[in-house]
Amino acid sequence: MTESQKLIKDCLNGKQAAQRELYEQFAGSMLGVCYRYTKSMTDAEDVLQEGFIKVFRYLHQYKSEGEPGAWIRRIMVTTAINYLKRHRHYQADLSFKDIGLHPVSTDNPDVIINTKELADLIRQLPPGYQTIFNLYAIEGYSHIEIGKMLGINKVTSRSQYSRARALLITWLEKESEDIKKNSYAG
Amino acid sequence: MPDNHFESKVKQKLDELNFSPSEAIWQKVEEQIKKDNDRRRLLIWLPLLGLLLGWGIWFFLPGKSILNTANQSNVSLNAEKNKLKIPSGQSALLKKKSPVAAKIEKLIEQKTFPNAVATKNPGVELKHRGNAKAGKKIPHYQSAENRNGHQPPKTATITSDDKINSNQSPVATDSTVQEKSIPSKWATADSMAIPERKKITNDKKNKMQWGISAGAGLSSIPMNFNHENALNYSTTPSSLTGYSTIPSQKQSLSFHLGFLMEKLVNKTTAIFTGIQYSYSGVKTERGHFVNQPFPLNAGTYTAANIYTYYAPTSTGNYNYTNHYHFIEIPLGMEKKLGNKSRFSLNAGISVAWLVSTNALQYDPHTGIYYQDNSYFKKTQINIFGGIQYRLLQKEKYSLKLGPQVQYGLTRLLNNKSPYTEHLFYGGLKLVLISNRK
Repeated sequence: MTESQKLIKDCLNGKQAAQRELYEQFAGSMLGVCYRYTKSMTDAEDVLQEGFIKVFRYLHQYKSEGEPGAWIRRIMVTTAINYLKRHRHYQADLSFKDIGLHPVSTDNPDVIINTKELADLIRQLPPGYQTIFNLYAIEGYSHIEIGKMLGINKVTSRSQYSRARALLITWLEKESEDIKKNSYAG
Repeated sequence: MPDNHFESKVKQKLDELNFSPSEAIWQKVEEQIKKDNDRRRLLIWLPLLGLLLGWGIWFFLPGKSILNTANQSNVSLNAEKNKLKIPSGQSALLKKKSPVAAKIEKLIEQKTFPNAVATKNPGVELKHRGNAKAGKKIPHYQSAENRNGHQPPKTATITSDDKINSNQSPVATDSTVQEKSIPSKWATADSMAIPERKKITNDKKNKMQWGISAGAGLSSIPMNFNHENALNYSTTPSSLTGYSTIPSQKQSLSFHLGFLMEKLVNKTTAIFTGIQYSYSGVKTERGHFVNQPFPLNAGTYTAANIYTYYAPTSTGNYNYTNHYHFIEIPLGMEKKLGNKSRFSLNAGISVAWLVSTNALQYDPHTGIYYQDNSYFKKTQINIFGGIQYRLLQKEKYSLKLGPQVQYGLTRLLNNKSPYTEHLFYGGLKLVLISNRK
């Protein structure tokens, strides 16, 4: 029995120390996941709380074959999507409107900004774009799966992703230029 | 799965994203874990409650033969330690087959005790396998004798040391009883006499009463918005959306009708059970009907759409009654307020199954009403109590009437809902039940 399996077993047996340990082990990285899907840290913490309650409630359904981290992450992602659907200030922007974009000069820009800045850039995307970008580029869901999760067409998901990607690349290029300018000035 | 280099770089960067959550989050998670554990414990108790209910039903079921019980307990009685006082001349009477004794023997042989056969041996008219208690007289035969005009017989004490010879004269065997462990098929009319008398007495005491129970009143569902219990509502929605947190609800008609079994425990106490149909209604207001998909959180980690719902409207709401139909099994106790009092108190517990409902769910974030029966807990545990006045005490049937209240211990809605609801009923209860005679 691996260490994580033992931890899960102890959690299922109601050992509070084990439950706390599981939380400590994954809370930080999962808050990062929740942060990417929401617009504020308060919302991200709300999602984290909901997600962990579900984790402990449905822990008996966890199959020991996979990594618990991946299972917990899936719960966090679906909890975040449900949260977005439920809250009006996200719901209003989930309509996936087209945004006029300038063509990008490169398909593979340098990502020289730090992790937090990159996450903040993604959070500046409209919620619909932000969600699809997160689901496709980071979580690795297919457009068919994303379509089912969000109740949209897979073609819509694909086109929205392309726009989100282009928008993000534009911003990254701008950020890179600013950094270069600042470094030359310095 | 994206295989683009850009996506890989972004993913790699973002996988490192890590924050320190505040301590308050764990405290709330821990609190919820405890609540979930409490709920599980309740589920463990439910089967025990079922067993209790089963016992209650078994206890009420008629047909438990005291004769059989008495017979079984008497088989093991050690005859050698017994001393039995038998009226002298009793065997002679039995030999004469007085009409009453013959009738009793026949009755026992044919119906009551199929294993019992009267001995055909003239020398041993009376076989006894120890059914009678030591030194006990048998007034059953005395009374039979008296009815036939005989003088009360003298009694003779016999012991197991007394030898019985089938060749002895009838006079000699009149007062003798064979005191050996005899198989049950050798049980005779004599051995049946005492238990038979017990049966009559106990039947009177334990007589089951049947009746009809009905009631009518008002029901309501006091509800609270509990965002700690509800995973999907971490903030008070009214502060975000402007919609009311609690939907408007009004009391509505409620009634029940069913069968009742009542059994007397002592002079003033009875226990009762039964089965009944219960209806509860609660009035609410809904908006206009919409027939198009709407994404709604289902409380699990999968997204769910609803396809028809009632949306809030500015032109005015429509009245709507939530109907709840239950099948209910009550188990309770009734206590008279004195031996001759017509007043009695009753209290108990009931298990109810929600058979069907048209009740609407309310979403405080959007103000919509929609139907989703997966939100309901199908099994409900209720407590009830009331006071009753016996109206027709001397008639063949008695009528009891009085106020009754009932409260649902179990939440009507499960954890998917942000609301804690408990069904409450208050009204008049009417019981029509056969009198003990």
